[in-house]
Amino acid sequence: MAIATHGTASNYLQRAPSPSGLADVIDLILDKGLVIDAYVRIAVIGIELITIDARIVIASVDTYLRFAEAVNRLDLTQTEAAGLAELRDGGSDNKSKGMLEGAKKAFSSDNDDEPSSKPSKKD
Amino acid sequence: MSATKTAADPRNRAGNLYVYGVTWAGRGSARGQGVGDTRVGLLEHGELAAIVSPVGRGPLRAKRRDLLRHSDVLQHAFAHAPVLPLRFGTVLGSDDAVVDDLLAARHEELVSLLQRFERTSELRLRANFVERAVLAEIVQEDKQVARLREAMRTASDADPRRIQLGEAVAGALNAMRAAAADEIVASLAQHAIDMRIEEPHDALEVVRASFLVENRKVRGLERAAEALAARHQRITFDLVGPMPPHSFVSLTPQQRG
Repeated sequence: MAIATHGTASNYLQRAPSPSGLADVIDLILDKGLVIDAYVRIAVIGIELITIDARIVIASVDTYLRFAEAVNRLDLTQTEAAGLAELRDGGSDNKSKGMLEGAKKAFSSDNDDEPSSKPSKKD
Repeated sequence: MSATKTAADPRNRAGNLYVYGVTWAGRGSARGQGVGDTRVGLLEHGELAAIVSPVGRGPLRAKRRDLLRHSDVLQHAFAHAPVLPLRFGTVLGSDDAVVDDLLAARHEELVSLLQRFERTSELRLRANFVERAVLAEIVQEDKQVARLREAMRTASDADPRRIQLGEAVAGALNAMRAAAADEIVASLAQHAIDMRIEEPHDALEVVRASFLVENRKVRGLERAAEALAARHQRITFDLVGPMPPHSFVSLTPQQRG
């Protein structure tokens, strides 16, 4: 599926005309759409795996410790030197994701029948 | 049902049917393989057509591929006519059940929904902070964070100020999120008829929202998103659509008669 990035390098908008991977589709269609009363037999098995609630409880000691760890790890000189350009074209999604996003990535890494990683942004 | 015309496999008349969505009779389009690797077809009644494919008798064991198929079938149909998406996993017992329990039973309501969503699309936006960039900004601009971070360089792992530091970072992040989210939503809302804003799924998420947009205004919303992306250097934007109105459809509950 085509993913175009509009504009110049100073923009950072990923644009997809339709849901292009499992994460998109889960985000978009699970728990959405018309529900038609009691007539319908919703007999889906095997989806539990991908409906893990990855929500982070932001106001918790655990989260605070993770934030503390994340800022302590931060190398500001490197960040300054590298600048935003490097952050932006920072290769694949996987590489640029830090620890705070760990929970979100967890559910899409155990695909059972096909990989769904979105094409990463080029240039 | 004498008024029923079907393009689905006629041999499957008594078998279970997976239902993807509802569109206009005569304007609908179905193609390819659907959930359960069977051919997708249209089942028409009156002004309406259900987009369906046969599935086996037992419980449906849905795979990730099936979720993608569900989405692809709806996207294809949506390219030809308005579509009301059904919830993933909707299965009815037969062709007759699709007509009797869905198309005929809710005919008027479905027709009015299709009319309402004519020439509209859902666009979904997700905006996320770039972790390293946003944390660097917080360290540089928040004096309390900078001070605690400096102190933690030599402190023990058990130092309670670690929690203070994390709390200060979370507080700064929340303030930045709230301000950015307000601006993003306000900017995109100008181009939309309706919107659904969801709770953030993780600490770095700024906005996760769907917008219902008139088709002629889609480009305007895209431009607004591009402008936001250009302005917010520490946020990545991901805009998906146009799609059928997954987040905006609902039927009034109805007791079985």
